[in-house]
Amino acid sequence: MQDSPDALQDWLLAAAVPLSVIRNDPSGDSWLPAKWRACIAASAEYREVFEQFIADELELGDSVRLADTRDIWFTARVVEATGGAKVYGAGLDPRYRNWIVTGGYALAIVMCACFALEFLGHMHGP
Amino acid sequence: MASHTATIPLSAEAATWLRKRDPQALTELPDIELVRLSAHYNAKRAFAELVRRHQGKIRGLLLRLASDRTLADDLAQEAFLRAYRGLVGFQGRARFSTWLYRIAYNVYLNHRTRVKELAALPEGFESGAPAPETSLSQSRSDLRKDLDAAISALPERYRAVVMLYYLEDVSYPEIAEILDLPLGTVKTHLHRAKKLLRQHMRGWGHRRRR
Repeated sequence: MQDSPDALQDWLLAAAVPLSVIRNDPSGDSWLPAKWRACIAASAEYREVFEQFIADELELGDSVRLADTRDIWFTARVVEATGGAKVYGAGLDPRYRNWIVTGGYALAIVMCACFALEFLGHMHGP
Repeated sequence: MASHTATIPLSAEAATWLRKRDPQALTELPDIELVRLSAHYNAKRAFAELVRRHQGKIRGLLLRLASDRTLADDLAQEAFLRAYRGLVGFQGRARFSTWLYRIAYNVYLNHRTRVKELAALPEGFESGAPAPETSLSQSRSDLRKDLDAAISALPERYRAVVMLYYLEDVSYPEIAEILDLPLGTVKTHLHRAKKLLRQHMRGWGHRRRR
């Protein structure tokens, strides 16, 4: 694609630079290819696209982080709710647990094979 | 303490906590040790520490998906209960947070299947999103509200990807695992979601925040 502000926008969107990287280096010195850095330095149009992208990313990141709210009563409610709940398989030796899980899978495979053989038998007739 | 625990190894730090029950020591244990303590030693305080550590992001994710704070908290509680019942199944191959996100996402999908009408945006969904007005200028506050609405208005498959991506500590492969999607699809969804969000924001005439 030819270089243009739209191409820069597409590159920025596709590159998916981690937000932590953008936060640490919003000028892009460490992660923006030299070609784009030169365009941004030379043209106000490119610069506007780039600065808008950075502002949008930071705003989106802040918006999501604000949704990360903690509530001490929530923890208390969850722990209270576990009062009547049991941890499935608690205390079971991991080896036995693995045998049980493997046994379940093996049984499922055998059943599938039986169904498949039955189906093939019907297809080919008596 | 349960009597059947000899086969489940603990780190020295976790074993020390088990003897002394020092609350401060609990906060320093890694997730996997807290899981072992909760699952095999019936240590409710260890599970409470796991909830305390991860509730913010789980509730945040569900709030974005469900667009209703009360519903999100109910779903988060259900997710933690499911996690509690299935703690033995967590083997530590993935991060605990990844495992938990996946449970939370499945809880949300199950809920949505049960109540189809939730697929439509509930009335007043914006009020369910966080309200940061106190610390923001009026223009930032307006932008944030519109951004919240834009994220809520994204197609659901994009919304989940966007949320997990901007939580920052979730990698692409982890997002793929949580949402049970191929890695390429995650990248495509994220790319399209970012484009859609920008279209929304430009449509509302917002410019940069500085």
